[in-house]
Amino acid sequence: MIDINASGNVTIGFGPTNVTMSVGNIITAIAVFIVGFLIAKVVKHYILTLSKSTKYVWVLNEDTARTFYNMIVIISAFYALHVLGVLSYKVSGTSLSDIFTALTVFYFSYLLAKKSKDYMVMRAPKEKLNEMQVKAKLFYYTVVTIAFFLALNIAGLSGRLSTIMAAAGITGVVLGIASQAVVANFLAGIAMYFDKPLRIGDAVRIGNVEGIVHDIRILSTRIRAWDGTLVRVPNEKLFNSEIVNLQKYPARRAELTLGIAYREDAQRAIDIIMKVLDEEPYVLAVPEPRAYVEELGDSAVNIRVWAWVPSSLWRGQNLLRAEYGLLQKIRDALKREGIEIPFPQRVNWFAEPLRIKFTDDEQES
Amino acid sequence: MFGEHRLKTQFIKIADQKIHLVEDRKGLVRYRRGNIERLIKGDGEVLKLLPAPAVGYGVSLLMVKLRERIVVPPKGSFQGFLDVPVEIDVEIGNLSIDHFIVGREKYALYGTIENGKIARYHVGPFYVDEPEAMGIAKVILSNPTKEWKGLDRIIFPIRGSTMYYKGNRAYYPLILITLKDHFPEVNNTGKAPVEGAVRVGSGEPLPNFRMRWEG
Repeated sequence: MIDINASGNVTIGFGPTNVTMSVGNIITAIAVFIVGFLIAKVVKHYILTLSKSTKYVWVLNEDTARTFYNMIVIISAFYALHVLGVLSYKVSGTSLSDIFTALTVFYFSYLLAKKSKDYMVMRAPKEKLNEMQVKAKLFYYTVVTIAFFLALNIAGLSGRLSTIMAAAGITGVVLGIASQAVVANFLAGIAMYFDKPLRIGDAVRIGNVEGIVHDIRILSTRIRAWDGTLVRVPNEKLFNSEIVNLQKYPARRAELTLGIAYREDAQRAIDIIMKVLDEEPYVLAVPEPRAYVEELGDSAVNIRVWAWVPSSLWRGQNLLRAEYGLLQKIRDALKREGIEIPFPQRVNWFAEPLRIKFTDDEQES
Repeated sequence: MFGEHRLKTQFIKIADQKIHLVEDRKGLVRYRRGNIERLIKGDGEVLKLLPAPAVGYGVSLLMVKLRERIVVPPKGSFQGFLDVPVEIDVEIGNLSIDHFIVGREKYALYGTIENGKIARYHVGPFYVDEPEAMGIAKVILSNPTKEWKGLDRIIFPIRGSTMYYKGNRAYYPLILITLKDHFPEVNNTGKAPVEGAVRVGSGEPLPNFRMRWEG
């Protein structure tokens, strides 16, 4: 309800509370807001101008200009409301002033944390990027959490938090059960930071998923599978899984098996294979590659090839098969040297002599 | 061969590679090496063929396995040469327009499978006199200890290394190897190994590399 009395004062009723403001106060409040608005515009324009010439674009950019603009507008609006006396209005025993201050503190703490997180990641040297991404996220969540409780305190709600939570008993239990997975994932995310089972950029196999770790977030880990699809693995599941790190060590052994005909000289075939391995740049000279007769198979003498290759070059499938065609090179070399790679074959024995019967058609022809 | 080449129609042979420069219309020069092709706006610049460390796909060490073990007496020292792999960088101004590997490319694991590093690998003798090779490293070995010391292979840091060239030869900076009691210490000094060699890079050393896994 709004009343205007004879002296020109305006009284606004907020439920049981009445706020009385003079015309002078209203004019002052409007002036404060307009001045704040204009200052915000000037500051924004100044930062945008600076951003075009500075080398510190990570701090002086459109984002920063917008943040400062919002901050000044909010503060001037806040001060204008203060001049009007509106902020002394109480909601559940807490003044609007405290609530607005709390919201402002939380909002700008959030912006500060976000900006700092981006800065930490951006300034991290390449070799420490993975570690810094995780640290930056931890920093971000820590600041936001602290700001949240600080804001509660400013708003005068912290003292009542336990009461509120107790009052929400059943709801709390329900929410607790519902958020169990979230909390488990969060804690697993923290544990993973210290345990470091994997890092961003690692090539890993987790269950049926294989690919490059793209991002480690506080609740989940993102893996870019070899086929380019994104797989999101909850941290809790990941932490309890068997993680195979495909590139943890500098070298990995690639294994191939190929068969030669029984009539061929196995040692000669091995010598040819070893020559191909020696000529292949990415087959490491140390540890030495090996080729040996693994099995006398049904149709062929099977030769096993072990070749160590740099792990960092392993992409998706067996490096030697997929990218450098080693299997094909071995096959070509064996063919060139006249070594037969047989088809599967079967010898059939008959217990009694076969009787062959010619039909009329065959006799005619 | 190494050094500056005018941007005019010509043919440059470098190791097992052939580079063709063909003048095109409107001041353009076509650069060809096998399947690699670049179109260059002449503008009075020169094409530079410069030696680069043999980092291959991105390794940081070069391992030379010696054909015969070197044995150095207590307090003794001597110098020699290694023929080593190098790579070629083709530049215009400060821009690299082509980079290629000449000769045999091979890698090896230096150290253990858990903690080792992949190194560029080469097998060769230890020459007393400078060999006829495209890539050369001059090495000074010293044994300041009171014990006889042996060496089967030489490993030195190459990533970011300064290089030198003189005529057809590319040189790594002077390599100093000190056969200390525990591990041989290797210093890529960044200094010119021979007089009159042209420097490529900053001349900064890559010091104090310890050959932890020297057997």
